Amino acid sequence: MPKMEATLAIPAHAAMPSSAAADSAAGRLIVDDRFEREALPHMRSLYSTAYRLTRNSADAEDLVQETMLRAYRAFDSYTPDTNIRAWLYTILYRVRADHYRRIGRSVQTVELEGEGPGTAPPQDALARGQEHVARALAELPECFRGAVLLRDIQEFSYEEIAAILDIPIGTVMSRIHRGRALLRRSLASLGS
Amino acid sequence: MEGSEAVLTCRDFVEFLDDYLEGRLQEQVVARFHEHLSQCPSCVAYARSYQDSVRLARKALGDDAPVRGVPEELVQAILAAQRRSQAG
Repeated sequence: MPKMEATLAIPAHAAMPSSAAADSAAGRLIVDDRFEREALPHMRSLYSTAYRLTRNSADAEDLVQETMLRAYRAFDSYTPDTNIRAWLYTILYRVRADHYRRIGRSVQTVELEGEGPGTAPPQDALARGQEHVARALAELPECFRGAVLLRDIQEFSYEEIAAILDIPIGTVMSRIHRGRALLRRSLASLGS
Repeated sequence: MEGSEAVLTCRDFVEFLDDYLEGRLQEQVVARFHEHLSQCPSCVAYARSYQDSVRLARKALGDDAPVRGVPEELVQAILAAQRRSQAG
């Protein structure tokens, strides 16, 4: 970034726009630097969640790319040294919700029926391989899968999840509980 | 959970298991959970397998799990799009 002492030679009436442009360019570089330093390190985690949500790499890449672009464009509105991880996840889940809105679908839900101690436990699910567990999670309806991913994999608090998904905390609790119960049932049926 | 005198059923146990595990229940209700667990091997097995499922998911799906990393093309695409956005 060249220094701008040259503006001293410019007539006073022209100095303002030139100085403003320089300030703007310098400001953008600072933002770019901050974005690369603060946001980009979360890409692996975002991609991992996007992959679990969309269940395929092409859609996961689209989701992360759109998330990072929106984050970049809105980065001025992010307050430095606050919770950038939650901020990025909020954008990721909004992008996903927008995708569903565009294609005219709502996130799938399901009633939890017949769940109880009578159903078989997951037993040796992990012994059958991590892919086995991944498949069980992939089979959950997205609204529960998304909540379980945020709580059990990304370890966000209930309050953070409520903000990320823009739903009441009671709904967060219900989705996580139902998601875990369905996961348990799915592991049991895959293991049997 | 309301009504501390009511009998805690297996259905109640399952419905409020998360609240129990997350420590969101009142002491009185927790005591009833413990009482139920002492008399109901099925609910003990259920609670154990429920916790096992969460543990299995964490182990299998954590960010350090052997899933595909971020494709290099994606990183490059994002950086290129940022440059275009900056230029525009």
